[in-house]
Amino acid sequence: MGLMGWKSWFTSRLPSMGQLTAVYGVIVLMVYGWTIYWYLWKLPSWLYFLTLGELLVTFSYAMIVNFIESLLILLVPVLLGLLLPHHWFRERFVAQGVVLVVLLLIALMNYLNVITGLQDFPPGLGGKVLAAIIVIAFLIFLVGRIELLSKVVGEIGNRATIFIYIFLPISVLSIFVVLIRNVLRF
Amino acid sequence: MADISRRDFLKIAASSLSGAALSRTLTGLGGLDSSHPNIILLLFDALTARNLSLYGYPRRTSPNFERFAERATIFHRYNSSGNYTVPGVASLLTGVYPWTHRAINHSGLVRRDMLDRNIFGLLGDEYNCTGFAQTGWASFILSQFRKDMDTYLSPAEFSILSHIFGDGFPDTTLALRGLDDFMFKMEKSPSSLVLGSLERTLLYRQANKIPSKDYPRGIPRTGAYPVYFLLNEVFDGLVKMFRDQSSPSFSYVHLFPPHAPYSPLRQFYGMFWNDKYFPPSKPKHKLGDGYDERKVYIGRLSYDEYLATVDYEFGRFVDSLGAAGVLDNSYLIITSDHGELFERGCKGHDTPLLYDPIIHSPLLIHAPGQNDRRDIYAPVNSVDILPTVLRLAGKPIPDWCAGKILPGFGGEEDYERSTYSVEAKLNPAFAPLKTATIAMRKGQYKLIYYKGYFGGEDWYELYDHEHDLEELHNLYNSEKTLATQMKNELFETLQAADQEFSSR
Repeated sequence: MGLMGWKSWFTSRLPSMGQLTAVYGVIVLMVYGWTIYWYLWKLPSWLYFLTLGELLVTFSYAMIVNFIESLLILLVPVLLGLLLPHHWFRERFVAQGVVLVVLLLIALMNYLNVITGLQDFPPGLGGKVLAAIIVIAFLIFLVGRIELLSKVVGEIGNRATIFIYIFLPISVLSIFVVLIRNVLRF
Repeated sequence: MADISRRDFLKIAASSLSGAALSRTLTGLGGLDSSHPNIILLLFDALTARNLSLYGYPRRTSPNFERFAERATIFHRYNSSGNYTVPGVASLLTGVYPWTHRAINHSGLVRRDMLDRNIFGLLGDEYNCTGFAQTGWASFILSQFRKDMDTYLSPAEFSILSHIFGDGFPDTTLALRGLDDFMFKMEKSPSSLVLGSLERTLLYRQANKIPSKDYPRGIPRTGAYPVYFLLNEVFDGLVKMFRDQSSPSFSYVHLFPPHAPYSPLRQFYGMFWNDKYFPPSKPKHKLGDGYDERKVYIGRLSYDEYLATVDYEFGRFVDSLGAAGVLDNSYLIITSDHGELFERGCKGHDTPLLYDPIIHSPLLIHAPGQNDRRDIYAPVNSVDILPTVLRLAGKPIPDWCAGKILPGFGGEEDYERSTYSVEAKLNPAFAPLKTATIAMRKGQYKLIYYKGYFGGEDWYELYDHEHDLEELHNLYNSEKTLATQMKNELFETLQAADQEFSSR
């Protein structure tokens, strides 16, 4: 297969922009939502001694990290779409992608909950991770088989795109803020 | 072309104009310019004088500090301005009390309109200034003064493993806040869901690979901002740094031990378990943590073991400094930001209480070439460090400074001077102090004022340190006249400090 062949194989396996934004919207909601939850938890104590400007700059650093990690998570369904047979995953990319990222992020939340306050991994963690992977795989399979479920999840994904319009501009603004603070030292 | 800062430029210009470049080279090779001596301010976090055998503690926790004291001036009544890192460090570096600099909250900062008032800036451009703190909260404050330092060292410096991110940004203070104090903080769940999970997984994997056979309770590490280190390696790195610094230099070094988690070396682990020393029993305090006596006692044992470890490594460090010739041309100031409390249901220092062990810190100063011991019993405070350092460096002392030059270094012994320690972590930084504990030290007496803690009701305790250092007998009701005099003086001082915030 020549270069053009690879390119066409690659693009044919990539989801459409509409599909990507639907899944990305859900990722943005969860990743940014988690950070904002903790930010609000911290805010009362920070209000005691940080100025409004400092609070916004602190928030900017957080938003940039969120932006990077939301793209990283988006890579997971995209890679699966590239690697798995068409009818396994890409056929219902939005529904299965949304289920995948939601469950993956919930698993991460649970993981953090388990290891928080410890200085080491808890015993039996490997088994739990394996169990989580099996459950996630099963639910992705299930959502691909049940039409109604697939439709509902797909609709949720489509509606979640609104969060991209909120958080992407905030992230871009945050990048500017951090650049100004560090390059121009303002 | 290399990036030359304003500070570097001024230094080069000053050297060229005054022809001091040659002299600088000579002093850098170990000579001493007596008008501008090297000064090292070495601070141990949470080191209380009350648990050091140097200060009369029955357990032999500090033979090496005792050895060092034979060549130093020892201050026996030195109090920290705060009872935890933030106010303690800020007072030390600014020479004013917490009610002025307002770094009073957990992970708090010095007020922004006072950032020019710091020890590094006041020493001027001819001093080569270095700041290093292993602990996050001290680093936040240090980073506020970064523009006045020639070298700002990351908390990760000299460590064997660390995950600190904000120090790589020129905008250090807020990068540390956004990344290390928020997105990747170790205390609660990290606020970064994806990278935070990855980071913590990676950290634990790396930490598991560190050989820890010499440390039965694990490798020494800091708390919420992950830095794992071996104290001997930290000290070795410091010796090398001090040896190679160009003169005159000022270094602020803030080491995390003996702060919890207490991680003694194996040879000190369990060394006090059967020594039959039991400190006086004290009733639980209403504002204490509520621990039973057994837990408090075990906490004290662990702390004392870690103290002995710190002392051991300190002994090696001082010997190495001596061998490197650093002690011949440098003042070495040893102190702490606050103490540690193991009584009245408390273990540690996250408390509103201001009893002696939590604010009575050690202070030892070795002058270049000093070979004898001096003991000073006049009460002094951490706000006195800044004017003393300025005096040693031949610099003027600003009139806003609350401290005085230490006795023995140009200052007078003033036994009747009032000094203060302030705790106000629950109070908004830029508002009058309404929830706070303030300890006022005057002569042999100490008044403790609890403001706003008991449902808004004020509470006082008065102790006579001459006859009751354990602070077991509250004289507040029996010594009414004295108590009223001290109260009035304290109110007046507090009112003046709060004045500008009352009008906001």
